[in-house]
Amino acid sequence: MQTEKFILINHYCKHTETSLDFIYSLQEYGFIEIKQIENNVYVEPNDLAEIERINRLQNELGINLEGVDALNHMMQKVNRLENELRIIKERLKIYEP
Amino acid sequence: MEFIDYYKILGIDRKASQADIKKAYRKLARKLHPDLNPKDKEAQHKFQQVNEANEVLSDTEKRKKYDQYGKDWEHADAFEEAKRNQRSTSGSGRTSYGGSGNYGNEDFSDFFESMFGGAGGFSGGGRRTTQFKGQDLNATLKLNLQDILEDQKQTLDLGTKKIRLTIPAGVEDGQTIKISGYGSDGFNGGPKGDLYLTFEINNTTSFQRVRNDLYLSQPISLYDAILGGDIEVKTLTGKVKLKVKPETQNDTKVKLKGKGMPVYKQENKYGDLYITYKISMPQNLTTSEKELFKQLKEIR
Repeated sequence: MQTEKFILINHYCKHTETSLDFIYSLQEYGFIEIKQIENNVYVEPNDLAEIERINRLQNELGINLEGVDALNHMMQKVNRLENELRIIKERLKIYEP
Repeated sequence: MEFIDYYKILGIDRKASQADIKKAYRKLARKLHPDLNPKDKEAQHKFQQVNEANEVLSDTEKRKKYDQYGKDWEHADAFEEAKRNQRSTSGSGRTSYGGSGNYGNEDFSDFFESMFGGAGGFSGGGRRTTQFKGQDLNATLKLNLQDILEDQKQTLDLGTKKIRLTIPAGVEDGQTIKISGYGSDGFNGGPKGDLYLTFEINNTTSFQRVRNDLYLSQPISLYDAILGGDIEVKTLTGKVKLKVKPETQNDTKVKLKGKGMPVYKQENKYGDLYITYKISMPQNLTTSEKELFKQLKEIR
């Protein structure tokens, strides 16, 4: 049987001095998913990196959550364009070795 | 070890006020922050330099020492005294960006450590103490194009440990995969960081690869092009026989379905091989050959 691992939000917040409201606001913006099992709320371990990244963007660069959302879209776009550029460069090599 | 001009790094004058330093630092940090430049190693390196410059220049005591001894940093005796003073100095409300937790003390330059005794000397600065996950590590694995035609088992030596992993066939050049939990140890008992493994695919073959498809220029004789004929074409997995149609034009493309690269993580699925015919003109014609071509010309 495969066991799923979750992080108890209360423990995480206490451990990292992060406010609980911040975690809930990340869920509201759709950045992470929160799971409720009985009376406890959890996040998936994969979401920790995202929580930390958004925390840094907010605390270190003063970007609010609306800004983070816009930034995520822009970065996805940049990644896609970079990928396209790489493919086009590869194609060009065929004609201009 | 070279002298580092922190003023130049921040693009400010030596007489810059604390407000100017803060402004310059914030502007550069917004531009170079690793979360905004995840694949740009140059930006990450510059970000470290900017961080280091700010650590020094935004602290009045350190800035004073830097201005006084900076260019003569090799005068160790003077710096020993500076180091002793440093240890009893507390922070002064500086803001310092921790980045992704990957820009810890070990990332300060030798120059900085020589002068200020390492980042450990700073206490009470703005550096966040909320690092939870360990440092992520990056590694590059070089493979040949022929190596990725099938799943491949490799042992990766990370210095402190070895990892056995299966590399799926068809990985792309520059593709990065995350291996969770193989980074550095976590902070305060937190989880380990991840290992990001980037593949560098070396292509020494005459095939050009574009994603899952392969491209090959195939020379054919003038006579095969005109009259048609059977030729043998190489693929990455062996040779195949092809029929060249009569009156084939130069640069005609032929698609060999399923003879390209394996599709990443999709079993028994392959890209295609595109062959472009390049007609080779005959050279060093004999007199009788020239005569035959003349006759042909006259007929046409």
